[in-house]
Amino acid sequence: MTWVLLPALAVGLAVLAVATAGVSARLAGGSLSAPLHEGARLLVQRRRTTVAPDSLLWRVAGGSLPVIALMMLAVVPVGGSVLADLPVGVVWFNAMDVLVWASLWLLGWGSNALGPLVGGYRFLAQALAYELPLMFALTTPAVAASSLRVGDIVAAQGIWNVVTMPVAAAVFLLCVLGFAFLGPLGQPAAADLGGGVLDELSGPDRLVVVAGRWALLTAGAAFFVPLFLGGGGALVLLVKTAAVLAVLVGVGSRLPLLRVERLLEIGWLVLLPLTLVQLLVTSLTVVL
Amino acid sequence: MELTTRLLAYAAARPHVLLVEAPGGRRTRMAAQDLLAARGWLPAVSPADADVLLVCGRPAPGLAERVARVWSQMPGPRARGTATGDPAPALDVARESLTDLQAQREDAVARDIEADGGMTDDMPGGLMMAGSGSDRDELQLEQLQPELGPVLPHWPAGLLARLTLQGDVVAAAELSWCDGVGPDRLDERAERLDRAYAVLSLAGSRHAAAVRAGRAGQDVGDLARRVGRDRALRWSLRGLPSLTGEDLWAELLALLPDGPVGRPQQPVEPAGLGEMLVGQELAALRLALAACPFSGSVAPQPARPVRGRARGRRR
Repeated sequence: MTWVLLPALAVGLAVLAVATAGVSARLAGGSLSAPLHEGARLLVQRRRTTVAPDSLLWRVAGGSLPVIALMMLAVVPVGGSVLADLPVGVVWFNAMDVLVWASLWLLGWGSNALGPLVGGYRFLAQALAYELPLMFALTTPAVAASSLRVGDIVAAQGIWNVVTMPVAAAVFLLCVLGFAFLGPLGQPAAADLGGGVLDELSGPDRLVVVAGRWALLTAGAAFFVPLFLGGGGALVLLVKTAAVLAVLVGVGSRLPLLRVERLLEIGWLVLLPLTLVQLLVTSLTVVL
Repeated sequence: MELTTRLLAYAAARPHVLLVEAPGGRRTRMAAQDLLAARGWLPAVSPADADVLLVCGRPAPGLAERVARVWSQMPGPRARGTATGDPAPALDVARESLTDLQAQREDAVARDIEADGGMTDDMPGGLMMAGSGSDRDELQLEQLQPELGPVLPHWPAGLLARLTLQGDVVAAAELSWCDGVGPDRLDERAERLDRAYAVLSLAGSRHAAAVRAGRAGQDVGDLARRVGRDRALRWSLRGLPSLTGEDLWAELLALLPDGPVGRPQQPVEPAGLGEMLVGQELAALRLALAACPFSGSVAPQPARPVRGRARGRRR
């Protein structure tokens, strides 16, 4: 009965996302309970709107973020079972992270306001910087296992992939921060734009987007485990995901916002060649 | 009822406060930032994000009109206050008002009645369509003409920027004082640290907290060395424009005590500065303006009678 996994994954996702947001607030000088206060605050807050928004697109875009995170988790094997055991699980994950492009652009466009619109532009440019390196980072473990099924990638790991393909692992983690637009890659929602894609949202509408952001980070970290850390049963998966999240939040809190313009430079001139070399090296080890 | 009251109180534990600095209110705004940090309250980044609106200093008509607009854009529960000395009493009253269920309900009902009138324009929301023009690469692109400031965090008090934007690139910028006056001048050390704090906050740097503490007079060690060694920050800020001639990274380091001694900075007026920002991204414009030594009014003495007030709007 793999359908039992759905509520389990949703609960795990929510708990880890809230805990991660708490730790992140703590590192920034706030308190661990900050996400709970913030959640209560947004629940009692009134919704608001802008002049002539495209409400349907705007609200659908916000609501899609937590759903995308959950759909990413659908292909993560928990022990022996997978919610959706797709033969192209890796491609599925990739398609989900590309959906975030549409969501954030519509979030900006739908509001019909400056801050979110420019935030949307920024996200598209940021995605251009990280998406190709992310695709090659995803491809590398698949090539090593000669399969796009996530379960096969877990089974093929004698030594964890994080050891045999460290560059792909590191690039993947950076890209997780990218599609969750958090930490150093948070410029699409930065304070200089009044919160960018988050601006003009209040109450439950904002809560959904903020929660979606942390859920995307958590889902990305959870997908890292079968790909690079040998996977595991429910408990092992939870612990390993928490460890990956700790690394993401810890490193992220020490870095300033990386401006999108500079990010494009590093994405295309440094990360893309590096991931290609990594892919070449891994391919050679498979053939030889 | 009981549950709603408790939820309101829990939610108001860490309110988000939108600080508005009127010319003459710079020290009050700085004190308010210190107070927010000490209490674990959060600075709001936009009206949509704000629970409390705190006006620091006495706004002239131009600013007052914009503050009223911002107040009408806040979602609610909401509260506002004015402080000209110590901001603590005004913040306390505002927080109290956030948890007052009765007052917040009345405020909400009054706003709904207000919102029912009006809105008879033919254009959607009475807005014009965006025009278009050539961008820096000679492409015909849509142009937006927003007005930035003066109610904006980490933004020089009283500054108004009329922009023409293509995407997030500035095609034209015209800067002026909203009410004819700029921010107060502080003593040299506080002046520089305040600007450094604004730049670091906009850049999302972890050093902002230490610079704020240093601005408040705490001993925070060698800031210039700590910031100077942050390679990621240097990589992100280097080469960005600065309105006083150097690049933004160099200007930031020169703002920190014990930093490289730069040329003594002459205060500048906003008129004409906008042209230096054409072709830049909005992010670069925000950083350059935060670092810029604007000339302004002479700072009033900090020791003034304390006056604070806060209220939710009632009928």
